[in-house]
Order: sequence, then structure tokens, then C-alpha cells
Amino acid sequence: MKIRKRHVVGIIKFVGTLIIALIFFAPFVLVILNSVKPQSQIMTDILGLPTTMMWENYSKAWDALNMSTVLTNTVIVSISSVFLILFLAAMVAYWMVRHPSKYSRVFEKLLLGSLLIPFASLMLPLVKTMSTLGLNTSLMGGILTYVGIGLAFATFIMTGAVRAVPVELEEAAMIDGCNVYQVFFQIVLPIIRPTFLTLFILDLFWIWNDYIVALIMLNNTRLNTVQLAINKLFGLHANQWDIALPAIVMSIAPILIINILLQKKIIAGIASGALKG
Amino acid sequence: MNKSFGKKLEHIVFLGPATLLFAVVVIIPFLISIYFSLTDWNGISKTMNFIGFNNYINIFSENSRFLQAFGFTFNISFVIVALTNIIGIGLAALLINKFFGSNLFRAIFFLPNTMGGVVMGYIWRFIFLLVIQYLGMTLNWAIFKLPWLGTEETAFVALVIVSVWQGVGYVMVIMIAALAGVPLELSEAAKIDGASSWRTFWKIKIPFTMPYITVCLFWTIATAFKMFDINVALTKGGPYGSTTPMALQIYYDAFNSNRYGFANAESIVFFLIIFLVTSIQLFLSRRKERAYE
Repeated sequence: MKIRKRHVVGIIKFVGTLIIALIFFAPFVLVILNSVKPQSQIMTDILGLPTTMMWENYSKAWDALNMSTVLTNTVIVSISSVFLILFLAAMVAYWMVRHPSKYSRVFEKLLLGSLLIPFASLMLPLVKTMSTLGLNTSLMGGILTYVGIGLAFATFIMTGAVRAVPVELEEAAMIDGCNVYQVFFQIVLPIIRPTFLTLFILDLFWIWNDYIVALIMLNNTRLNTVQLAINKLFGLHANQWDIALPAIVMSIAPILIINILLQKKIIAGIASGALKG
Repeated sequence: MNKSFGKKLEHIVFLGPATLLFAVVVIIPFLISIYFSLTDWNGISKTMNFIGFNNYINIFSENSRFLQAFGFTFNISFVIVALTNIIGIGLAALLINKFFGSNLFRAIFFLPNTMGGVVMGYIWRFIFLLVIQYLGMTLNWAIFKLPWLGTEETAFVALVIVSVWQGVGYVMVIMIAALAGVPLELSEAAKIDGASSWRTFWKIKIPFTMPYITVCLFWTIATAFKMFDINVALTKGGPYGSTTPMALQIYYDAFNSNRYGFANAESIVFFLIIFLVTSIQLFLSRRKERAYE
């Protein structure tokens, strides 16, 4: 009797969750489904299967987005920003934990405090600063901005990882004649590698998806990122859903693929990242 | 001599590049912003006047658009934060125990959180403009016949739906990790004492996970107050500016109305608001955590 009751509860729970999940997932399904329909069918039969597979929607959207340029820009900006963030944050975290000084303590406080500054409070003067430095007309301006802003959170997470490195290992290496650089590269970096992966994914998603920094720093046909291009496309082709929908699908495809490949790592990473906060 | 130089060099190598970047991107702009906020510069011309705190006084004048944006941001943040945390914790409670498909469900609920606000906004623009309208025509239900992005109230609700849809996955992931950390003996003991699972959840598990709830609250509040890209994509701040959040108002004033000095004052006030709200939240949450200890 008791087992049967548990069974019923389990089935109700499963069906309930399934329904919520379907509602949650429906927008993606509808966008993907309609992205291969002719415009006329999108307007009249939104829930049906495509009558003809309009693969050319995708090539039209690719051209409308100027995807080859835009994708290259986004990949360059996100990958180089993320690597710089990780590398600099690891260096700072190592130095703050193992070689603290008056300066490093002040710097740590400033970094932590900056987590509360919204980008909108920095964006206006940032444009002026970057153009004074001559960096506002290249991808470099965007990259440096992402690194400067992303540094605080990454350092914060890395500090936790460096603290967990057994200090005896570092001391032993020092006695064996290693200098601090060797200790950092050969001992500390390999041990904190799991944290690298977590931060890599978090920051990659952030930069890939970011709109506001790109809008301020890379708002130029030559420098556009995927998010900017999507926004512009909707300005120009607002009602041409046979172009807009495949454009959306292309812009989320990389994120979808990473999600499928690394699903468990991402979820574990988010959880551990938050717990350290 | 040589040794102390090496020591200094090490400091510079490890902290120098990060310091430089941080200064250029965060510290210097922040200080410049305070300076510009005291001027009437339009952002382009060669002349600007120092006008003291006039910009700040104007922000708090009667028909200030920034105050309107603040009102909107505050109200919608309240609704979004409440719903995101309640639904997120609910999903966590639902998915904490493994069952058939539970991993896939977790991934689905988390998926919107890994995507950008602009694209999410446009996906939902498609849903609200075409799909809902189509359902309205075929099913003839009143709720589907509303002009979802066309009126103040419905645009507000639409933004809440998209934001909550995007945020619950984050709360769910953290709360699953949090609930998994509740010692089994605690909830078992409560059950033996005759407590219902509902009571066990509220009286044992939630207090135990309070530090994680603090993180969720902090994140959802900060995200909601900084909202920008979902509005750009979904409503463009309309109708009639009714869904313009603070960050977007700053952008409009600086780049569309050329009120650069004024917009800088707004951005400083924006920072102070976020600082104040998150500090109050952290203070209250920490006090609650301590009360539970």
C-alpha cells in the first residue's frame, strides 16, 4: 500500500515537472521550428511543421548579420578576454594570498568593492578614457574593458583556490631552489586548474552574451559582436522573421552546444562559484 | 641591493598589469564620472561649465525621467526577485532527489540562464508578437488577445516573465547544492519527531541553507536593478518610456539627448542606489543567518 502511494506521488512529480519543463523549453522549440519555414507559413501556421525546409533562411540570415566578420570578432574578443582574465586573476590571487603586503590588501578591498559598481556607472567616462588612449576603434578596447571588469570576480574565486594549495609544496619547491615564478607556473597553476575551467565557462558565457559593454566599446560595423549584430538586424528587418529567427538560432548555437557537452561541469561550476561568494 | 630589486620586480610583475588595467577601466572612469557629473558638458563641445550639484538637484526634481526609471526598476525588481527565488527554490525542492529525467530537467531549467538578454528578449518578442497572437486567434482566449508589448501593464508583466524565466535556473542550481548539504540526520530526526515534510522543509532545511539564499538574493537583486538588454530587445523602454530601467535612461540621456554631464550624475546616483540596496540586503540576510545559527 505504502509503496503504491509513493509510486503515485513519483508519477505526479514527474508529469508536473515535465509540463513545467515543456513550457520552459517551448520558446526555443518554436524559434528553431519556425526558423526553417517560409515567411508566409510563419505568419499563418506557427505551430505546424515546416511545409518546405527553407535552409536558405540561414544563408540569408548569415549575410544579414555579416556573420563571418561578427563571429570572428566575438571569438577573438571573448577568447582573449577570458584568457587574460584567468591569467591575471591567478597571478593577483597567488600574490595576495602568499605574499601579502599593505598594497595588496588595499588592492583586494578595491577589487571587492568594485563588484558593486554597475557597468552603467562606468560606461560614459570609459568611452572618453579609451579614446584618449586610442583604443576605442579596435577590438583591444573591448578586450581590455572585459578584463578590467571581470578581474574582480575572477580574483575573488581564485583566491579561494590558491588558499587550498598546500603551502608545504610551495615551500619545498623554494628550498629546492625554485623562484616565485617557477613556483607559480609549475606548482600553483597546475593545482588550481579545476577553478580555471569553472571560470573559463562562466566568463566565456558572460562575454559571449554581453550586450552593454559591446554597445559602448565595439559599436562599429567593423567591430560588431554577435549580440550587437542581432540587435541591429532586428532594427532593420523587424518583421522579416524568416531572417530574424535563423539569426537567433545561429547566435545561441555555440552556447547550446557547450551546454550539451559540458552540462554537468557548468552546473557544478556555477554552484561552487556561488558558494565561495 | 640586487635582491631587493628582484623582490620589487616580483611585486610589479604579479600585481602591476592587473593594477594598471583595473585603474584604466574602473578607478579612473569612476573618478572622472564624479567630475563630469558636476558640469553641464554635452559630451561633444569644447566648452563646459562647472555647475556644482545642479545635476543632482535636477535628478530629484519633480518630473525627472530618472526618478520614473527608478520607480519602474524598483517595482519590477521587487516582483522579479520574489518570483525568481520562490520558483527557483521550488524547482530545487522538486529536483533535489534524482528521478527519471531529473538531470535533463535541471539542464532545461538552467538553459535560459546561459544565454544573453538581447537574444532572450528577441525570442520572447517573437513569442509575444506572433505566437501569442496566433493562439489568441485560434483559441479565442482573452489572455492571448492582449497587446502584450503594447500597454504599460502588460509590458511590465512581459518583462517579469522573461526575467524570471532567465533567472530561476541560477537559483535552482545553487539551492540544489545547498539542500544537498543539509545533513541527513537533521531531517531524519525531524521526521521521527513527527514533522511533516513541508514543516521539515521550512523549519530545518531553509534555515540551514540561509547563506545560500543570501547569495541568491544578492545575485537576483543586483541583476534586476541593472536590467538593460532585455528591455532594449523586448520593449525598447516603451510604451511611452514606462519600462525604461535606470541603466537605459542613463544611456539615452548621454547618447540620445547629449546631456553628458547630467547622465554622469545619474550614473553616480545609480551606483549609490545599487550600493545601498545590496548593502541593506546583505546586512538583513546576515542578521537572519546569525539568528538561525
